[in-house]
Amino acid sequence: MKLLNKINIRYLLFSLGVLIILGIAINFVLFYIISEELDEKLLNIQKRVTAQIKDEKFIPVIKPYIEVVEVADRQERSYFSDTIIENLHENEWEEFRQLISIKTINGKTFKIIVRESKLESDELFESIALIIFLTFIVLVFILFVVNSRIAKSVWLPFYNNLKLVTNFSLNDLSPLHLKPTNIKEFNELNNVIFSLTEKVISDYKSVKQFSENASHEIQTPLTIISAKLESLINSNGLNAEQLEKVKSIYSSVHRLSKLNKSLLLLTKIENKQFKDVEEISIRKVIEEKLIEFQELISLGNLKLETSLNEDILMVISPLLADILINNLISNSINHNKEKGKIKIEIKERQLSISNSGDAILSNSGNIFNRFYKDNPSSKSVGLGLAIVKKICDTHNIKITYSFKENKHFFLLDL
Amino acid sequence: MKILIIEDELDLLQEIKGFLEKEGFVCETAQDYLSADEKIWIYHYDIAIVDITLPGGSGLQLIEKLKQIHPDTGILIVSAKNSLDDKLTGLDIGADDYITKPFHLAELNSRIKSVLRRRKFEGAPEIVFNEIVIQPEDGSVKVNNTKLILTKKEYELLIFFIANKNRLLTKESIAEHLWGDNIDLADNFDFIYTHINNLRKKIFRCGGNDYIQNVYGMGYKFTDL
Repeated sequence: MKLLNKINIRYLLFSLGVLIILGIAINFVLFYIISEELDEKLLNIQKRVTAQIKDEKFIPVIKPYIEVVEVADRQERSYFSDTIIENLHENEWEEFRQLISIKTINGKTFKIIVRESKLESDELFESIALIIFLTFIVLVFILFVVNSRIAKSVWLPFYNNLKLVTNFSLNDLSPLHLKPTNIKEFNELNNVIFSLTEKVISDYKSVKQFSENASHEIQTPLTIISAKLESLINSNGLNAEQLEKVKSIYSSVHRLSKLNKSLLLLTKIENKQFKDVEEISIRKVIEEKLIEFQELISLGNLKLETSLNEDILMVISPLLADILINNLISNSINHNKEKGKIKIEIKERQLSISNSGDAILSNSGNIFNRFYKDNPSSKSVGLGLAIVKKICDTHNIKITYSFKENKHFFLLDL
Repeated sequence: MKILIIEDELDLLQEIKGFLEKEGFVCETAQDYLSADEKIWIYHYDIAIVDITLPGGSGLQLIEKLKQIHPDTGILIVSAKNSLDDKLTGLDIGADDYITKPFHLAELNSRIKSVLRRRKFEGAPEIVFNEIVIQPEDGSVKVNNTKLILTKKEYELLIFFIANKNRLLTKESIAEHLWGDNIDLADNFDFIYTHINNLRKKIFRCGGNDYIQNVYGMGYKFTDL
């Protein structure tokens, strides 16, 4: 859940709670005030009626509001009560508040009842409650809007920096300089992120440096081993069994040095060390490579089909363009069937290279991974397609593998 | 022919020296920048094999000096770095060729001979092996005065064989010589066999001898009968 939403939901829930409690409280207070008011009014009327009877000897009666009857009971008292009286004109029952007092005036005892309809005070109560309630709702709404606005502007630097952190890549080799804000906590976070990325980058660099140096340092001993083995092979002093062993050592050393070279190449592509870019005609590279490969293609009895009427120009290092095409074509030769087909096609900035095959690879999602081999017993180094992928990645080329109609397809959006 | 080998790894140095002496070259060695510098000033060599990373200085500086003092000395760079920048700089300042570690000694030998041909014979020596005569200038091959039509790979293969005659050339070194080291052909060396067979047949048809022997399935040897 987004932070702002969370804050807003909390805020609204809290407001709702306050609204309910306040509503109940206001209800009671209002009810009490209005009842008091009504009782006071009744008391006033009763006083006037009493005065009128006393001074003017006139007994006023307005039913049902004022009723005066003589009673025998001489005990003076006075009390409020609620009652319901039928309104004869409208044939409805109406609620009334009444004050009943027994008073002795000029020697006579009267029962004076003053009444007031509660309808009016109920309406008053309702309108006051409504006004308070509406004011409260508007207040909550305004606060909500203002709050969200403030939160948004306060958190804006956070979200901006979050975007920067998301886009952080080790390959850029520069620590994250986040935008400073006037909020202390955010600045502290920025500083922590800066030193964190700085540390990560320096660790990454040293690991990379180490593996690159290791690969370079391995080259010389490998040369020595291979040279000594070659002279051993040529020394004539070995019997067949020994020679067989030397042969196996030799081919392993050869594999090791190929592996090392490929890993170095991958590292160099990753480090973007191929800076001598030129505009390269992909069609030309393919045509040159096909001449180089023609013997291998005919050796496997492969049928080559090309459709190179269009051309793609690309700004890339000539060496990398060569390796890219080389690895794709040699892959299509190596993993072809006997008497299979190779098809190379350029169409609308798309290069497609396909070769015959029996079935989709068991782990086709990993086809571009380092050391991926469809056939584990193969002595192939398993880096050819990883190198292809790395070149594509560093040059914004989209490459996809698919298997259709008994063919392995490699599609490159150049 | 006199060769100066500048290489800081003693083991490798001795191996190259031993190999080239068997090929009939006179070899001198230097293990660091200073001793190499000294030798360059005093003696004259036909070929210098220079490692770029040396204790005490850069091989590239040595090449620049060598070019000033003895411009006719052929220069072959040996480097652990397969860096195009280094390669281009090296070739720019006058080196004749560039070879990356790890390399096959046969490959080194073939490159040295090719540099020598270009330098010492102004690029027009004939390579003669009994009845086989090669003109590297135009790439023509004659056997018993009959012109031989070879594919590019067959031609390169023949030159490689003759440069390394009487030595066992492993399939790996042949493959790398013909296809470069970027190729990942796994354990499939059948194509070498095909090329060699074709080459054999073509020479045989012109009345030449079959000089190519298969050795224990390891590789091939081009030997005088």
